[in-house]
Amino acid sequence: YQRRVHGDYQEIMIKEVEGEWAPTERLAQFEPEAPIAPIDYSEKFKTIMDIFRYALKIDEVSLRAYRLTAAVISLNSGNYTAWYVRRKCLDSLPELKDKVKEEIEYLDIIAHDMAKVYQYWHHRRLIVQKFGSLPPNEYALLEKFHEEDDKNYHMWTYRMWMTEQFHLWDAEYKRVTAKIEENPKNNSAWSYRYFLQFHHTEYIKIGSAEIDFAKSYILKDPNNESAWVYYKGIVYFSPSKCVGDKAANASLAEKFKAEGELFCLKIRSSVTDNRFCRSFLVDIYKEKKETAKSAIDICIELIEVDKIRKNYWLWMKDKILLSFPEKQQYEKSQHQYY
Amino acid sequence: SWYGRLDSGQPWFLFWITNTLDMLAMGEDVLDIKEKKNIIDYLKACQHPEGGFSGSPFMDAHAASTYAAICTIVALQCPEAYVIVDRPKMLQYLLRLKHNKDTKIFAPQLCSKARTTIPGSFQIHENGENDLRAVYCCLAVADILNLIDEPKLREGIGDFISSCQTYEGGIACVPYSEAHAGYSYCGFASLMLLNETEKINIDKLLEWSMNRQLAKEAGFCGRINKLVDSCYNFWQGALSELIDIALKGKGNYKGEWLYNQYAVQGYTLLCCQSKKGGLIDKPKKSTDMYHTCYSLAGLSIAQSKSMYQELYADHKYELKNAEANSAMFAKDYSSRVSRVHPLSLIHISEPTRRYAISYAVFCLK
Repeated sequence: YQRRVHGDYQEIMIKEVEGEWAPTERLAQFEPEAPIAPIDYSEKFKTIMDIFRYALKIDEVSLRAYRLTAAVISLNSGNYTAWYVRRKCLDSLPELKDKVKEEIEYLDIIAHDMAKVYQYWHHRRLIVQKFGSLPPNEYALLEKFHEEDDKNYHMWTYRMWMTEQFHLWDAEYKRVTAKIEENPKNNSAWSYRYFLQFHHTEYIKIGSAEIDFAKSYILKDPNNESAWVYYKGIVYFSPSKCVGDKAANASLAEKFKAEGELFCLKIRSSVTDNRFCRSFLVDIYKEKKETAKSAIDICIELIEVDKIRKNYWLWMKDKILLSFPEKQQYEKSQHQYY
Repeated sequence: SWYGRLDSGQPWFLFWITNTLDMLAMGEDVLDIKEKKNIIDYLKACQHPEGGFSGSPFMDAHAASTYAAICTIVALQCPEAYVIVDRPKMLQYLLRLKHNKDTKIFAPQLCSKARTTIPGSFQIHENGENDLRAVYCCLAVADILNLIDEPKLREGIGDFISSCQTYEGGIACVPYSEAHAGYSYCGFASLMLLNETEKINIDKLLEWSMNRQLAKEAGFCGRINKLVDSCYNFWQGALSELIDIALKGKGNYKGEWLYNQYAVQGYTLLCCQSKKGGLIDKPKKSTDMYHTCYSLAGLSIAQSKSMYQELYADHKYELKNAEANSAMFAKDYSSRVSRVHPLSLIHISEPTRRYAISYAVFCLK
């Protein structure tokens, strides 16, 4: 319905916009003698773009230029210069200076085509920032985008900005927990959770609880890469990047590794051919001389269990051997299960 | 209508087309003088008087279009193309896009030229969004034009990229966002250009990247738990080669890449060829120039073995004994394409043209 309405509206809008510019106020597209990859423009596209090029040439900032940008955007949402002219108009024209709410409404109306348009999200961010508080319709709109594509990269990055700008941490924590439950394999949701949790909270306060959260999802589906990577991330990535005393973080991480080893061994013995528990064990075992042999043995298992990454595991095995040369004697021994 | 949107990114067409033709032609010159002249005239019209190239004549300059335009100029291999670049203005343009600690944002309005807030990053156009694509596009251009040693251009980028590495191991477009193949390539390639690869954890990046190859589909996906797409042949495959170079030739297994390069070729040749010509993302999708170019470039890397010593150790780019260093799917040489350079897609079967262009441009200015 919205698309049809917009389509009709677009016809009317374009006619009105055309009417505001004299026939001489045009500047044709540059065409070399024989265009290499000619785009098949429609008539209305050509006309509006001819007017737009003219407006750019004379650097016009006016109400009719503002309306013109809407026409250009409706025909080519990727025209970054049109978005910029639009912002110039909003900044300098007295009639538009306070029309921030109306601009947000405009953005809401055209949203259905804009999911993957960089310029739209950038513009929205600037307008909402000027608005100064969370617009009433914002969540509803984000939910609509989420329904269309729950992994839309622009949407999630925008959401991060919005949370930081308006301090929505607690409310967003509840929402992301629900989103992960809805679709446990939505890695964007896990990534967003990491942002909410580890951006500004102390590692020693949340590390353990977040690991339990990840584990619960691994137990539901041991093949969920998002949950495993989240778990490993907390153990290996967070300690040095997170808030808090780095030494205390590191020692807590060692405790997590010991627990992790037990967890992974359990999964390995109860779930057939699971590459994630084995890959985690390799990470744990390869750090120390005493467990290097175990790391190598598991690499050898992975060559069978994770066939597509055969070269990677062969390379990893050789790398571990090189870092603990006295273990090379084990190369030829049979692999043993613990 | 997809192409309508590209109306403000037209140099990309030229980039995708010239590079695709280059890869298929195996070194032969496919474009005739007249076609080259048309491309040169068009790029000249896209160059902005204040520096950089726009998505189409009369628009503002844009970092991605600048990158596409410069790479196209290099691919054309003729001095008439090199001459059009206004190198001093380009440097000024790149510096305007750059955000440093001391970049002042005067009265930040909606339309302020400088709106980034992360030191070490670039905007993709003035008053535009700020992310890792812009960093790569600007640095690649600076490298080709021999401007990359400019301190204000280089400042802080390594730290910015470092802050974009996520807990997953890959690199995101801004700090704390999700690891993504395109941004991982842009980030790591930028670090290669700056010679600052120690600023991120390469092991974690490699682990994340190798885990993007899907066991059933055989191709790569771009993020965890997402779908296969043939364009990632390049973004992930080239990343694998760049890591091999960063590790001084120790990022391969007996010359083969650490991903399954035969499987990637298989996926591309068996599942991604459109009946109408060109390559596609995955079965049932329609063909487009972006996928054609990048799937093919990824195929090019997948068909080859690591040749660190021959190709990179002394900056020699001669491809000796090409067949002995190839790794063809089903040993079928009929689908061989030209070997591309993982940093810029320019084919490397002869001494690199990067140096040729920077020398030519430098002499002329």
